[in-house]
Amino acid sequence: MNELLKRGLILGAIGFAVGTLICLFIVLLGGLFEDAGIGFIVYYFISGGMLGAICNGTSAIYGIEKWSILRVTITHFVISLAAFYTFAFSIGWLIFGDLMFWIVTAMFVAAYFMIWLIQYLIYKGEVKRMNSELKELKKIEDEEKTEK
Amino acid sequence: MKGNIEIKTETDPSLTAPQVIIRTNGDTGLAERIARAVSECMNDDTTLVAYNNSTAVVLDKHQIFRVFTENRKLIIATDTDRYDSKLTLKEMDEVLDETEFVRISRFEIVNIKKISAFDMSMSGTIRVIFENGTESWVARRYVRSIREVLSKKLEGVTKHE
Repeated sequence: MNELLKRGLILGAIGFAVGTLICLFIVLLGGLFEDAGIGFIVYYFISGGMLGAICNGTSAIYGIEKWSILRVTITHFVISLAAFYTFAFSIGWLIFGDLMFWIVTAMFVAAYFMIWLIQYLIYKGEVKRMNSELKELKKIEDEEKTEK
Repeated sequence: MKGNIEIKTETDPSLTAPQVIIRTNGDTGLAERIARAVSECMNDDTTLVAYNNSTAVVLDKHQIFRVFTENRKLIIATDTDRYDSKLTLKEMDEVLDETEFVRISRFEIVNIKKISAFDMSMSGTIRVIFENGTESWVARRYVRSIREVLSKKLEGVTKHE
């Protein structure tokens, strides 16, 4: 099986488990569903699990070597946000256009911007150091050639 | 019926290095073995056998810029030419000097001495630029190992001084 797909499925399974557990935690803390039917409760947990599966599973795309940091981050952002909106609207976590919707959207954008920025700065620093070492090596080699 | 191998020696003062031409009736297996034997004669681990249009060539490893996979073939690129290799990228990794050659992605190994600079675009793509102006891209997961090789090489050179 394709390595990327395999990794995605494993991450997705972990994400499903974590998503379901988070939902359970929220239910236990908030005392939700006192009046809800069993169908809704099951749907709630499955939604949380699916959201975790999609967000975590698609993070496997960070392993695509040829994609730039920006491309990977935007792709994961779009998929995660779309998945979140789908489940959030269907369960009633969010109402389109109200204040919470905009706050959550802004948080998503801010979080992914930070993900891109941190990675960009880390690798920018690495490239700078590599160039510095390369320059030093070439300087020493040139000096050795001159001496000979 | 198998014939004997005929060996002829000619002197040409215009040559700067020995030139070996292997002529066969198409038996590339034999040609390859002879090319390897010639390579082994140099006995200093600085050469390897490559192919240019099915012609076996003994290449000086120091002339190699990059080795990469393309259309399921392994290509060895020097400054101006490209050659095929019968090895896999993993086998080539073992043949090349680990202090001079470094893996930059799943598909490519490059000669550190032929690198002019590294560059990173705003989108986060890391490129390696070679002395002859050609470029390739670096996988982020290999950045650390590239740095380790460069650091070790620099350490080795400065200690030697």
